[in-house]
Amino acid sequence: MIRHPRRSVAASLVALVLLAACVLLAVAVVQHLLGQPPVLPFAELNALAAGLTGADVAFLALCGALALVGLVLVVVALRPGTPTVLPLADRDGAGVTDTGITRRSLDRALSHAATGVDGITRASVSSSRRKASVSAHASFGDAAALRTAVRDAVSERLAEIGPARSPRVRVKVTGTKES
Amino acid sequence: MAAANPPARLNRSLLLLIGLVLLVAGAAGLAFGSGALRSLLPGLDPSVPLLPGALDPPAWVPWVTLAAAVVVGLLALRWLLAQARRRPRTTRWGLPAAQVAGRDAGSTRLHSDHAAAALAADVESYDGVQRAAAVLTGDRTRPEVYLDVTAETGADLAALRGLIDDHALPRLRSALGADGARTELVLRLVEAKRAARVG
Repeated sequence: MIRHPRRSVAASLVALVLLAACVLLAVAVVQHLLGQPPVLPFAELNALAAGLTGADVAFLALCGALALVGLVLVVVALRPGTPTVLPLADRDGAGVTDTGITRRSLDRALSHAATGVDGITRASVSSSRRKASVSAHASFGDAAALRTAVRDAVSERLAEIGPARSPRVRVKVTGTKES
Repeated sequence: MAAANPPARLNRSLLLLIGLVLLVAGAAGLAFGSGALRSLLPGLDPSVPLLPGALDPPAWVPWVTLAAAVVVGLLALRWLLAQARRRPRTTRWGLPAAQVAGRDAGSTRLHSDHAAAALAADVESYDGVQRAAAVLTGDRTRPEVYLDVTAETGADLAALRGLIDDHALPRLRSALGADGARTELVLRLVEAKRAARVG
């Protein structure tokens, strides 16, 4: 099982703009029907459009902006985004439960494993399905040895968790003299 | 699976739809304004004004506009409110009527949330589990189970998954009289509450 972001921010934004536009339009139309001056100046807008031709820069710019916003929304909708839940391998013999782990807790567990290595004071992990990048900060020790130790610790933890596809572990150690 | 991660699919479809409408409208406007459409539709002349000076729409136009604005506005509001619902929709089940002394002794109704709470309680009793939440949807005899389990970082995940598959889910199935259940399990790991790191 893999889950992707819900795109709630983009959706809320578009829904809010749509709602505001509809409320404004409805209020203006009701005011127009009641004979009051509407909040949207329909007559002025009409005059503006009557003074514009399709070849005017203002019209072209407006259409370009519209197309750009549309393109952005299409890209937001089609791009899957960084997964929020990564799939775990099925257990042997039991194939009914589709299991995944949140990417955030996978990162946390792996960085926990990395900080368990002697000499590593801080570690942060950013994982995807293909790659787990570990960036560890060491207070002392040999960078190459630490890199190997961290990679081993992280790989061991990964094997315990059991992702469907084992990501390649990449380790960067900072803080030692060599780096 | 209907909607395992609401409202992800709804957002995706609506963003795509609105994006496409805006993209097509904008591109059509650009093509019209630049004269690119003239070869296709010679009647479209970009050099005439967009609207006649004094527009006098028929009497029904304001009413139709108002109706459209209200309908679209309500749909937008519903879309906005859908962002707050983060779990699949649950349901109420009727269990088969019991026969007592040869007579129908009435029907039993069960909200899927209550069955889900029992499942979550089972899972929470396992070693290393801090929290468990469950949602059941679909048909009672073939429910869809969404489990969200928060375990401690050091927990034995293989053993935990084994317990869920071989203990908690069979118990749920027998309680519901279900033939099988499709299950989605999301694991979260947190630091153990009492674990203190020395150093």
